[in-house]
Amino acid sequence: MDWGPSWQALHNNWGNIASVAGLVVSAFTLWFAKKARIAAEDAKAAARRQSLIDELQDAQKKAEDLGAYLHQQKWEIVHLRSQEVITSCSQILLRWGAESLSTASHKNLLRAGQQSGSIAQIAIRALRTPPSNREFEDMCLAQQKALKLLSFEAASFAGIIEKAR
Amino acid sequence: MSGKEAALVGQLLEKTVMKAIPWEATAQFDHFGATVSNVTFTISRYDETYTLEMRDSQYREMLRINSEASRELRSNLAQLYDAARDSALRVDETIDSILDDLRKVS
Repeated sequence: MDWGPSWQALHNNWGNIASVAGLVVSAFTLWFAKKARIAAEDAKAAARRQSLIDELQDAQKKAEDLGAYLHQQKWEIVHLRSQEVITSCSQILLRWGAESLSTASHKNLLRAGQQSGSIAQIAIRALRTPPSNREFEDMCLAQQKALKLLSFEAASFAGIIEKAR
Repeated sequence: MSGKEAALVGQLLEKTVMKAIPWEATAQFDHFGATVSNVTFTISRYDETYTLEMRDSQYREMLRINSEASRELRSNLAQLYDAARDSALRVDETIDSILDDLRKVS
């Protein structure tokens, strides 16, 4: 095979060939950079979602503890724990807001906070006068509602992460 | 009480009767709660006095409307309380279900 004409063509068009090669390398570099940026953004979003799940699970744990202290009728700790649940819900709402939370999640967190707030109101009174059986039952129901709402939110967001993997 | 507050009570009552706002029982006897936008509402009755509270997402009290302010307000808050209670205890749905069951009884 005679390589002469090919070498000649290469020699004559070296500048054009180098430009095309440069263009291809640039395109690949851009493509890799874009993929790397998307991967970094995905990792950042996953880390943020995990952080939200951690906060929801922490609020859920506080609501569980609230139930345990409620059954032991330790009113001072019930008051403190219910305030902590309110604070957790408030912080999640403040930190994550509309960008990460759906309207339904937003409402569920407000409802969990409201139920905990109603427990706190009775607990503070219970330090002076023990609640009636009816009030105690209503406190237990409110705690279960708050726990259910927080568990639902934590499980929903954990499900979203699982699906994304 | 301002006109805005009266309008707020009126709208809450209207939407509750239309079942657009669901209310739920809280730990406190005769207190019912609902969430609208970014706030929570609690309507309560103590003796014959009705109170509507509005709290923000940090659970800070933003507004408190008491039925002792005017006769018209008292009537609206009492109606709101009854509607919220019916919503929380699902009175309508329960009566419908009982009526269905009774119709099936020969």
